[in-house]
Amino acid sequence: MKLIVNGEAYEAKRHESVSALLEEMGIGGRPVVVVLNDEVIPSSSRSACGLREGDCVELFRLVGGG
Amino acid sequence: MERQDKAQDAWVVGGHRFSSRLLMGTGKFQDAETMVRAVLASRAQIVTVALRRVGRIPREDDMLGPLGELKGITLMPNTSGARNASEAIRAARLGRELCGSPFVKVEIHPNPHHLMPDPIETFEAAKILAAEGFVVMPYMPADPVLAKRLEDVGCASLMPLGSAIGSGRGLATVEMLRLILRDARIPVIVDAGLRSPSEAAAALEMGCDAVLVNSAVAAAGDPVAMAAAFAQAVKAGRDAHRAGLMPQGGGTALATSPLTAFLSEEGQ
Amino acid sequence: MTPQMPAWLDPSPWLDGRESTPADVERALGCDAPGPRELAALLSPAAHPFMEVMAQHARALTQRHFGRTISMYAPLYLANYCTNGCAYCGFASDRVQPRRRLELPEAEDELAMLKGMGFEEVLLLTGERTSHAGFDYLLECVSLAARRFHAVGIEAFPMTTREYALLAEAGCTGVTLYQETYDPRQYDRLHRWGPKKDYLDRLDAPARAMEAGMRTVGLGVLLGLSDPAFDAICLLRHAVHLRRIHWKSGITLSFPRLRPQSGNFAAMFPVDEAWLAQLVFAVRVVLPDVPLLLSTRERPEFRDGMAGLGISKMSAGSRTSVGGYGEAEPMTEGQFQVSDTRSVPEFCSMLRNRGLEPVFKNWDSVFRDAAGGEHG
Ligand code: SF4
Repeated sequence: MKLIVNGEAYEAKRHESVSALLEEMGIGGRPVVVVLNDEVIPSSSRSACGLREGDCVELFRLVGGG
Repeated sequence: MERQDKAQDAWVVGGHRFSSRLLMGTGKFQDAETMVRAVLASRAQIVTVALRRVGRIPREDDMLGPLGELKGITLMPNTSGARNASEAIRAARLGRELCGSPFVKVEIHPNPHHLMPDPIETFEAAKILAAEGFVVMPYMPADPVLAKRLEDVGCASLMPLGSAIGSGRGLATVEMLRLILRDARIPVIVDAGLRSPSEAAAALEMGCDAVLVNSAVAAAGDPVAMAAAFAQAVKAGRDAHRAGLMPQGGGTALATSPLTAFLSEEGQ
Repeated sequence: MTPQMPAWLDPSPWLDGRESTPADVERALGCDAPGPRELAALLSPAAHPFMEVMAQHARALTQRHFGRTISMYAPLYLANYCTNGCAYCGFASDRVQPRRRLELPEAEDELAMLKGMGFEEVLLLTGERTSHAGFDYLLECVSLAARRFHAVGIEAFPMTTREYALLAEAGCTGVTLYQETYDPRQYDRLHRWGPKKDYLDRLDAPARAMEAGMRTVGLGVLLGLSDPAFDAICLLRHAVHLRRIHWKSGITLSFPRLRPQSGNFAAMFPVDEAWLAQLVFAVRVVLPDVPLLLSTRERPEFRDGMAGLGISKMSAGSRTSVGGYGEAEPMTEGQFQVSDTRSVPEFCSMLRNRGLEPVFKNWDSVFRDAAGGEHG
């Protein structure tokens, strides 16, 4: 399934849920915040939240900053 | 609103009480381990972090992983990278989601060279975020009028710059800081521009509630040792403020009275 | 019932009975951010040997913020009706004397006379709110004055925020309202009856005026009613409190001293000239940028000496009776006795001889917003 992840085209093999996508990308256990089509998906509903063709996914994490 | 808790010498921001008056940034360190050790050495209780998109290939070190596990440290996400109010508001909401903390350092600097904060966008973002219940700590120009404006819209503290970010020019804005301190009803934290612990001490001596440092530690010869030095300087500066500095060129009793002679002419 | 002082006003932490030492005075004079502690030291007997150096500090600070100038204003008494029983005042309702108010044409005449004397700032005074001289009357007088004068202040009764906003809209630029004394017990004793008995309402009124967009608010205490050090520290704390919250308005401070008047009320805490001077110097040190006023209650020699020595704003040629400027023999008695009876030109030439320029106009009402100023 074709998605836009962080502004770039991404061919997802697993798309039954947001959690599955994160697993596929290798960031399953990491603290990230997921924004699906401009909406923040709380971590509690990631496994229940499915994905559709063309969805826009943005993933953010914390980095060092002043 | 009382800015300080007198007995404990704690300070309170947005209803949260802290004893350490040194806030640490976590950017610009050579590696995560040094950063974490420096944060520990600084005894900071509020630590700023930034928000970035996850790379396509997630190979970056998880710099902040160990920080999250440290007890007694509040992570304060900043909005760095935001170039206007709406970007900053978006960043703040994501930061709250990630850190689970209502604290946000609103930081909007459209010019990538000098990184001076945009007063107008900062004000707009602060107003909206404060209304949403964030503990808003705005990084701001050392402007006494803007300070009152930000206070009026519900900011939890003021974070005026000592000098430009990363410039290491110390308290170049000292006279404006004095005016801000004179009338502030919320904590004042000097953010940006400090290079040496003595400058941090000077900020606390003149009555600032805390300072935030990052480059001065991250870019020091020995960041961990420098973090400890800042911790001591901040403590010394605060103690000096409480003790009361000796007068500066005050006055001495004078025998002659050219200006007040008229007072003895008649009593009543 | 004695009202409770709010915590932000309470001066007791600085009046703990500890005697100030000369070292405390030196520290206060060299302090970067002086506050109540420093004021207490500068008002203490330990500061007596420092009077000359305090005067030098006061002069230097006054010059730095106000230049070599003295701002000029004139009081105009509109009415002497009053329902209050202020024990110290000649207008109190139990004092037998003719009562009157200026009708609008009369007020117009008095304003024209003041304008003719060169004034651009006028302070309109009345007693308590009465049916003879209430809010609407005052509003009309303000509108009248605002047509001729660039700065129009009122010194009347405490009002609501809405009323202050209406006055501001009509061109009122300042509200003067003295607490008289901040000591709640003395306040209660001296204000024997009338609406003025409400200590807290009066205390809150300057904040309401600022809220309503007044450019300046004048605070003061009537020296002689209570322990002057107590009142001075409260005055400082009141000013600092207002400055922090209502940062778009200015503050001025006055130091009226109780003099003999028709009520024959003897000051319970008499304040002599030396003490008044010490107070003015001390307040100037802790509030370097606040205008400090001195009226014609004081004798000429004292006023001459104090001009520029902390004091930055003065009245001259004043009449304190209703209709006093137009009438050779005023029909009513003044609120207080004028000690400096010199004319405006005489007073101005004294100032110039001392190297000070009298300033009659500090800003131009032409810049005023139609709506009376933006405040958000
Ligand atoms: S001081 Fe004012 S309120 Fe009191 S009696 Fe005199 S005029 Fe009336």
